[in-house]
Amino acid sequence: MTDDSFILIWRKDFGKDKIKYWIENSLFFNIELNYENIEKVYSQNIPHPFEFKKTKFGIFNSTDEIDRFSFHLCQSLNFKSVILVSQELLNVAYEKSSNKDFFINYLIENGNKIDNPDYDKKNLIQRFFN
Amino acid sequence: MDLTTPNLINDYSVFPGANWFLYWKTSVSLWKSKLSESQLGSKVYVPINWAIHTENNDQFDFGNYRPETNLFKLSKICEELDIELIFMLNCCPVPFIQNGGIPAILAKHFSKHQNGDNLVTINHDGELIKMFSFFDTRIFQGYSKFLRRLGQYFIDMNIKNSILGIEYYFHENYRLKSYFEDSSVIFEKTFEQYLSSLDDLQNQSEILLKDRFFNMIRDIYKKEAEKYLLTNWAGNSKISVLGGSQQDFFKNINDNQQSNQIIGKMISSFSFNAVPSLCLLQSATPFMNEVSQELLTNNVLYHLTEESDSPFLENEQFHFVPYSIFSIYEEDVFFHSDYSWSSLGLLSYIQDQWGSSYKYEMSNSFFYDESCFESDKIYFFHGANINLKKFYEWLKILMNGGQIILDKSEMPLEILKRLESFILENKLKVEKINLELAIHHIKLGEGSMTIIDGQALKKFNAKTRNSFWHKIINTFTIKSIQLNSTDHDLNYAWFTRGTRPGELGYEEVRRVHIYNATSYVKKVEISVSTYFSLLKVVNKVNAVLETKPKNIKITMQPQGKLLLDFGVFS
Repeated sequence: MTDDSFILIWRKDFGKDKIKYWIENSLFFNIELNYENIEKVYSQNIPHPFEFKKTKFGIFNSTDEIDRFSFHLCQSLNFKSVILVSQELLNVAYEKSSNKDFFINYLIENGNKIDNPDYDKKNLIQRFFN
Repeated sequence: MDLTTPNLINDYSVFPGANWFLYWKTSVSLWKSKLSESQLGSKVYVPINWAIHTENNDQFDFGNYRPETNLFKLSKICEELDIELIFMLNCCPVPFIQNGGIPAILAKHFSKHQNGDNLVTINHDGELIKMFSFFDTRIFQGYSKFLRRLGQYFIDMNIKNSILGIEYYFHENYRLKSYFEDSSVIFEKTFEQYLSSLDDLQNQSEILLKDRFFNMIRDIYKKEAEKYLLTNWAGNSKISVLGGSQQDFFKNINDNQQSNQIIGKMISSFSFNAVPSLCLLQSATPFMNEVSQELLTNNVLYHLTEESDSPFLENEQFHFVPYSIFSIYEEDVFFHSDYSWSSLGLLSYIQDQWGSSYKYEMSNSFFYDESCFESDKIYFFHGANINLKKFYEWLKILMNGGQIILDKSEMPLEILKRLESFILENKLKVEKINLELAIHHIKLGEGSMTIIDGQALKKFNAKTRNSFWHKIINTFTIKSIQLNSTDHDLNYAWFTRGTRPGELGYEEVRRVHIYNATSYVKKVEISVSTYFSLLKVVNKVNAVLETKPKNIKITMQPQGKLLLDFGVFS
């Protein structure tokens, strides 16, 4: 487990015409997710209107859009990296894990890791204001 | 009233907030001391752990090899301590026992949430609890075998303690969802087999058929338990496990559960006739345990078995029971319908404005009963899937002065025509009112029926739906006390009981529990109308009251609590 990374979990939604993607659930180890900041990062980087539905937000038309959004969120929060986890991987992690630590490590090791090259270790206070 | 703060014991075998004792979590040599020293009160509830009594599900152990499987000894210890022991037997996956409480040998097909995630919770020790599908026939056969042996053991050892059948639930989107619910491949497979066994599907929707199949299988489990444990059987109850939803799984890992949200869910459990449990919460504070114990022991919540002839219902009229103004009937509680009251924004509005003053039930459980009909309640019904028999039951409410709000979405044409004939025959005036959308209002004597179009309402955003419900509910005269606070972080719950000798000037007594689980000072005002009179301040901790004839001003410090009794005039 690390304080420098956070995990976002995304799911596919098989709609009438095409597949859509949503982000639902996150694992942050020392802060709470701020939806105002998420909406701001989303509207700056994704060319569709932001939707927040009960527990999930999106919409993303492709996994590339999820990657782009997550990278910018990671930069905005000044984390070293973000780990993206699909529902399929999440279910494998559930099956293989017997405890919390194993579960988190499994997601970190097997998720799609995106690094933030601008990470500034000395400026961690930024997370709390963002 | 015991005001001492109960504390959790380290091995999590004892849960004072709900009077639970998990016998397999601790050594037999400690049973007596734990039961006597843990402020559990005079009644102790003990979940039976199927998996601890067997490895291969062929041979079962009740104290022959592993001392902690000796239920007879547990019963004797409770008898010595003058504690009433009530066993709880699950008829669905158990979210706080490894593999959902089934023996490892049967744990094969994961149970799945509707969104496709495996059903998993996390316990105090950071262990993942995985749920397995109860639609797997091997699990049913194993369950049946265990019940047969358990029933025989109770007879052989002459164990007289009651056994409650328990279905466990979690909170999701203002509703309760059963851990029995499953969307796995094994569920779909058995559902297909069920469909192929039906002669005529009569163009019924898949959701309705799934709901029927789900209820049928669940009833088979319940009946099997009742059959083998008949002598001790005390009915079925629901338990809502706080911190047991999918969202909670991540909150528990992040350790960011908020006390006031947990207490809010604890209180809203009563609206679903469910008893809340804190057994999964790593972050359950002493304050949460204290609130839980106070809500449970001062009321007859554990008496909320589904059977009306249950021995637990004796002398109910002098005990406090949850108070409700709204009776909300849902078409299918288990499989989300497109036009559920939750998706129409009603539940969020009521929980926000009226707290837990509502009852949420399944439509097929409604029948008009003159002896317990309350004309001051507001009944909510969906028109979809309604038949004539049910429709006539609703009309009885209207004709006896009751209030109905009817969602006409997908209402069969035949019933709509009957409603029109009823209006014409009785020469009723239909008033059309334009709110956010047009509604129709019919008045018959003291009774009224408001007809809305859920399909149209669903298209509006949450704010507009909220405003719509606010306008509709404000048209009714509701004999209730509302708490006025600038924020919604305070938790409160209303209860009611009949009058005792000496309280004859009143029609009933209502009690409000108010809790401040936040870290901030909160203020609240209560306007007391002419129907009410403050009887007494039952309990007051970290709270200051300023009482005037028609107004009570309250300041609640963090961890503050207040219990007030009001007499209600007729």
